[in-house]
Amino acid sequence: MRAPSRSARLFVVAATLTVATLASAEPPTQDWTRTETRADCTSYNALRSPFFGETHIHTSFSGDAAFVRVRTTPRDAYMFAKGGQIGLPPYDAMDQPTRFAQLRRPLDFTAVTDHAEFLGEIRTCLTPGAPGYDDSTCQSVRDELASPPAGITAPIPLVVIAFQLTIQAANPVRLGLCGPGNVNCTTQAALVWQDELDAAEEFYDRTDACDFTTFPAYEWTNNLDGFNLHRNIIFRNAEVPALPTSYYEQPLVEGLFSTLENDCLDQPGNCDFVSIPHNSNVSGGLMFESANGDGSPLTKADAVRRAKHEPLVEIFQHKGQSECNPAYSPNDEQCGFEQLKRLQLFQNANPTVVPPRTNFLRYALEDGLKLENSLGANPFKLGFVGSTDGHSSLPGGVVEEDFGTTGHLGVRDGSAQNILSRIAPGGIVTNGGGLAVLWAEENSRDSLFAAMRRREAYATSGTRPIVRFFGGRPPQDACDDPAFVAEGYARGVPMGGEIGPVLGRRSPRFAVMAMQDPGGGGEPSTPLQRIQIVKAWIDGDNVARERVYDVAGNARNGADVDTTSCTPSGTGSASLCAVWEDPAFKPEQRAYYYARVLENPVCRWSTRLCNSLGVDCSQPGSYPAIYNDCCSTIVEKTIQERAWTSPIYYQTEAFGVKGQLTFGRNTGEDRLRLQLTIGRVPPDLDVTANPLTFTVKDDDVVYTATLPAGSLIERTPGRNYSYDDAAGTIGGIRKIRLRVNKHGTGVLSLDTVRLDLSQAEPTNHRLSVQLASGDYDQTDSRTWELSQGKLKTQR
Amino acid sequence: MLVRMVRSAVRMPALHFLVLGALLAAVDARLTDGSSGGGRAPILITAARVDEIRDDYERTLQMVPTPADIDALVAREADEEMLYREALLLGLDRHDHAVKWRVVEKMHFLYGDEAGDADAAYRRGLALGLERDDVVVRNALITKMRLLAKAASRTEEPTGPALDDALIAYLRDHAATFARDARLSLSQVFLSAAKRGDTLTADAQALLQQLRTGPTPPADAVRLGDPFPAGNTVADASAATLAKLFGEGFATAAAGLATGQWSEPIRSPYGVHLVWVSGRNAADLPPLDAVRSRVLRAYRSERRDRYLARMMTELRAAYPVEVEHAG
Repeated sequence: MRAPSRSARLFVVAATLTVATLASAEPPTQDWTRTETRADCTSYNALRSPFFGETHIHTSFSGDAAFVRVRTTPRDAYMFAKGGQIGLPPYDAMDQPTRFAQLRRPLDFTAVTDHAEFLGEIRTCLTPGAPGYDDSTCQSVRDELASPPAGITAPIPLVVIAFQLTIQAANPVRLGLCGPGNVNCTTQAALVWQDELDAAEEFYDRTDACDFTTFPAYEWTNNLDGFNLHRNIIFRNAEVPALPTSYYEQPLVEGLFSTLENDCLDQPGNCDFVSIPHNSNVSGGLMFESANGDGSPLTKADAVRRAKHEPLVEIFQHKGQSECNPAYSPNDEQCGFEQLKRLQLFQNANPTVVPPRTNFLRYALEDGLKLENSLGANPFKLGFVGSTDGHSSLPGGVVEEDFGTTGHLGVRDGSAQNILSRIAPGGIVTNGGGLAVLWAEENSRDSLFAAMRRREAYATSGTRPIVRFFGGRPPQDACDDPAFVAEGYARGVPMGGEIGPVLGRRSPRFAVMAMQDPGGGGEPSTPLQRIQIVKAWIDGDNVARERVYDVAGNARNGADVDTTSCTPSGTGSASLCAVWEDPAFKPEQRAYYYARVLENPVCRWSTRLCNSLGVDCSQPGSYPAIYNDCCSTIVEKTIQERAWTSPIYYQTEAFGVKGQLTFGRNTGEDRLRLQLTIGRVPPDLDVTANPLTFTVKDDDVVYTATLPAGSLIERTPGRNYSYDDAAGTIGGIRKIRLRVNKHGTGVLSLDTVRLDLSQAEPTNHRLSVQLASGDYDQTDSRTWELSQGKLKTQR
Repeated sequence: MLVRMVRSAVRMPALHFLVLGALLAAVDARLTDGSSGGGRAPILITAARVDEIRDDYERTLQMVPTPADIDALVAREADEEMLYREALLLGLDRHDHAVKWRVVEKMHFLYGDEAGDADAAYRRGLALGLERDDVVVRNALITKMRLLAKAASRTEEPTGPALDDALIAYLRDHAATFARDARLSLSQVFLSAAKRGDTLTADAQALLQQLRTGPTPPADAVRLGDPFPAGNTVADASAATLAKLFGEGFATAAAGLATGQWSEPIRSPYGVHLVWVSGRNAADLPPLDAVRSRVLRAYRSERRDRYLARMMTELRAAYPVEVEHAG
């Protein structure tokens, strides 16, 4: 055995040191309880694992999928998600599919989200003897389905238009075939919904293997005036309403929420749901306008309700990205990525369109910050997922290599010519879609649902990189720390979380780590190019601002791809990591931060398809005119696949604590000193008009005191407050000072006389400090460390 | 309340199965009872009809059918005619909701208000023979016959322990579909290629020496090495899970590792890993209770297909078919 080299010896020493100095970080507390009967997962991981899935997929149970001759069912979709092969239209005369599709790697979870609208209509029209079957519209449906599918340049069949128009009206009415009181359609819808539930149950792994999770789910399809205001409703478990509430019953999202509150949340039992909106990029600015659906102004209660029911949004899917737009983010060249270039779904793609600002999430979330300032609550506090919104029962059908041969729109994507055109609603400007990734303890409904609720999620554009993002006080050397993940949770929040001024006036620290997609199943994987952190904030003039920082990797790594052979070139990184602080941080300015991870470029799916058709753009006229769009500039030839983490939200009304608890020599001789830095003192913290209650806790209450209203004396209006009592008659408080600077940042300090704080354990452990006053109620929680007889907040 | 109404509508179909099952027994009896003339009148598929079938195919699929396609379509036509005729012999058109409404609809079309109320219109329509040679009625009765076969498979389904036995046998016969993957529990110490560059191999060997000398238990070892976002401990992971986190090469290599010791460095796209496999579960078949609903559904589906096939075999034996070929 040769002697270890010097570097190895140094490493061993360093490793030992690392072991010695680590405080053993506690994993995050599980924030959910089980609401269903099933086995515990043997693979449970308290530090959470990544689960890749689909939150938006349609089968033949969706009216529009049926019209594009899709016949596969929710069961087929779940089989596909688990790695099985399924058929695609067109079907031949013996009812056999003429195309097939299969995932190269299975998914961990899937929610089938067929449209609630038309759920019963199509079944009525296809079930001989069902009431409504003989209606002339049903006859037209059957005639349409029995005839050759119209080419994409042909006008949309009248019967399809008849269906679509009903969900564009402000006061939607079901078609006549539904009968008096719509009873024909609702009866059939209940049976179809039961089919959906049965399929979800059949494929949900309730054993301790936890191989695959399904969710009962559906889509609420609000197409008001042709704009997309759709939501997917994902239920937590099998306790669901007897019928999914559609746009016909509730045309406003507030009404949808009311019905779901009545029929689900407020019912005895464990019914629960989240709403995931999508395609704000074609919503005419309406999905995230700063108003209720009926135009009335948002109240604080409206904002709280919206944020509660909608924790996530699709930032990327088959019909383009909704992150940002070059018209509004001229300094972020990544905003040109996968733009749909349509103002409405059923318009042909046009490179010159400039969609409204609030179509894009970056600006919608900025508006959310502004509303939080003015209302006291943020209605658009969203995390990000990717999905497909495919209509061919292909959950997770996102691979660039495969999308050109399957498409997502049934027989309408049945030929290369169709899929390469710019004619609405599909075509060359669309793509395979993306994936939703959830960090959860186990692959079960409750655990995954809890991850959705707390927004611990990220979106990908179709690949499977593994990304962690923490904000708060991760150690400066987190990227060298094997306990990166544990410390990330212990000293801050993961993606989707909320932080306050955790380091006082200093910028919070962010730690981000990404591993490239490891590939598999023959799917090639691409190295990473870089990690960026996107910051958006509201400045002192109440103007929304944004800035993109490159924090790891190299934008100029020379990575490229030959668009003829699709051979990549140049270097990249298998893994990247960075710890970052915001150089422009201002504690009084509300902000959000999300990480965007970019891979090296590869060929886009359209380039691959065009290459396989032998299209050589340098020889115009050498290929059929039907493939002309291969050579247009309406789409890029290459793509940098990417991931977007849910944002971490910086809350100005929160505070960071510097504290010290000095243990006296004898009982009753302890002292407490607290210094709370509040990012921006909010209006509902009125320290003269309301009592102030301080509480310090671990498992027990260590200290609590309430200063009555009017005790704090205002020395300089709005700026300086003080309280002195050498005897500490009220809760042992000797002194309080509150200084608020001209930007609104407040530093509130409290000193006690000697008292009994022996409830505090004299060890390194977590303590929470709470300040409650009137409607204001905030808590800071962090580890306090014992050193020389003092418990001090960990930096 | 809508909820209650809908629930009772869902429950109703179950009752029909019992009735229809008895009818299928009647079909069987008629067909196999030679003394009452089990044979049926021949079915003739005219050349004109074959041409129609060909035209429909071309129009719908925009393709020219092969002779094999035509044969298959003609056979299907013959099958459906058998089902239709047998349905009429069994009297399935009587008291059938779809047939009734079709007749009533036709009466309203012909006579308007003079058709009378639904029952009166139905009686008069039957007297006029409106249900015969009607495509909608034909399709409804063909569907009904197929449903009969499927329903019979349910009424003759074993119950109780016998059903469990049948399901267990089905599970065993279809082990490939239901098998659970082998699973591994492991701890790993990660050394990052990006971080260590040229010293990666030496660092890995040095650390491996340190771990093996202890031997350092996994719980302590996970504090060494470089950070890994998916963590240092993986419990009960299938090969697919390991591939998701570490890549396929790692998953394959890990499958061959001995338990309870530190492995040689195993490569992943990210660097190398020193792996301690702490437990292993072999691939197995789950207990019936864990997959009962899936097995039951698959079992019933297979039985339905078998019963339908059996009915078609008997019908084809009873109905001679003549196909006229174009000259």
